[in-house]
Amino acid sequence: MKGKYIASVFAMILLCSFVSAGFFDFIDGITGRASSQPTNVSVSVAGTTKAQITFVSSIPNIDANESSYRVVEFNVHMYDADGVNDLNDTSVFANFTREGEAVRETNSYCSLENDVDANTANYSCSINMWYWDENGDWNVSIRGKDLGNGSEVYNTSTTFQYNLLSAMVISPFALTWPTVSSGALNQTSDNDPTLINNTGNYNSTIDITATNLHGESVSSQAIYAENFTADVNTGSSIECLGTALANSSAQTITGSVANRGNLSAGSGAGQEQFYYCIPEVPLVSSQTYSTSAEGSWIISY
Amino acid sequence: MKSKFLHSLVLMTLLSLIVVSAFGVSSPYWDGNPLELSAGDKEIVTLNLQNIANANDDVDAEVKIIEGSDIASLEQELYTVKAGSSENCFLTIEVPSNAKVGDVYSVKVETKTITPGDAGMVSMGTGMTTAFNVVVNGSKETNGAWYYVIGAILVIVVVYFIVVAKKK
Repeated sequence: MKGKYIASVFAMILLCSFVSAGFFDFIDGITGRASSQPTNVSVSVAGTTKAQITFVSSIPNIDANESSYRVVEFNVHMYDADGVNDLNDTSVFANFTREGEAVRETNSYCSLENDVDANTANYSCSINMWYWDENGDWNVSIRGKDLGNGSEVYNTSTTFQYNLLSAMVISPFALTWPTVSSGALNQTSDNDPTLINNTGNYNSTIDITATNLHGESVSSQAIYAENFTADVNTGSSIECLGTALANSSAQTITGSVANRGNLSAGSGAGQEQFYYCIPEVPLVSSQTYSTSAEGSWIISY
Repeated sequence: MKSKFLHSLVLMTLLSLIVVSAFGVSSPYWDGNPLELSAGDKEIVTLNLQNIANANDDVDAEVKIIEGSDIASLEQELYTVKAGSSENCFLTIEVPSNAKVGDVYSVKVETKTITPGDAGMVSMGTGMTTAFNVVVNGSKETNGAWYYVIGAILVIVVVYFIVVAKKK
């Protein structure tokens, strides 16, 4: 009995709160609440609504850059009903496509520029278009996703026009012949071919507009443009059977093609070469003949 | 027989002077991608002259309209394009006000580099021909007038039905 009494008293002591308060402390507002204390709270919101790509800025007509690339910049807006915090800011990618052409795409994700409002964010994208990319309409495709739903969403509503760039680099830009004599047959240039690098996206034949060569001592004497031929091939004087040139008139060189492509690939893409011949040297006086009187020959697209 | 060996063409082999000539012209219209305008409309087409590739020297270029000068004109024909840069050439297209829908005008502009025809050799330059069609489509005024006519007809029909309904 005595043991039970001692155990009960001991239990009561353990259950008692160890507090101390003055008699009138209730006036000061003892409430039983915990005292206030600043606390950092982190809350992750994971919405379930899919994001939407609601806007793609229009892209004006783009000029290709000769022998280089053009950076095409544009902005996209991604919207999420669950708020901008639910948008995955590193998920927005873009590409340009055109049938038969290599896909051009962002090197990395489109970067977040700013929040447009509580539900929409603005991203900046840039894609490089190369000089040999085909002229015409290109499709713009954007993809992105949010954090909560995680589904990838697309916008393929935009296109832009990549302009035609007719451009070339020729080398050398002066032709020479060894000393030749009147009546001589199949006299070929001694510093051809003219190498024509296509530094744009033009893709068709190539012309030469020749001029008459006048004597530098007796200018009334001339070797007419019609005495020259040009060809894309050489060997066994085959260029002497090539396309006959004409004075001040563009002549398409048979078999020529601008052959647009990546010049750095080294596969011959983007390159053409011309070889020249005088099939029969006309009867003219002995002197030097040149284009100084009538102007340069023009290689053109 | 020296006379049989007329030295008719003596051109210096200046291999040490092998250099390149680079030039380009960009256009928003081409064969297959026509410019569409209404009768009486005017548009300025920008041709971008480029001297970017391997450009160590400035390039002088001449731009000429070789076809379509009845509707096309140039502000300027001679350009100097600085090394590594580009210049815009403005081509004004003005469709006659009496042109008919479906009329097609052909425009051809030739741009070529001006290279001196150096003595003692056959010098070479580059050229680009920009060719495109200008197609005359329905005039904007006509389209606008049609909208007004259709709107007026709709209003008359609605009013008619309201009046008929009230009479019943």
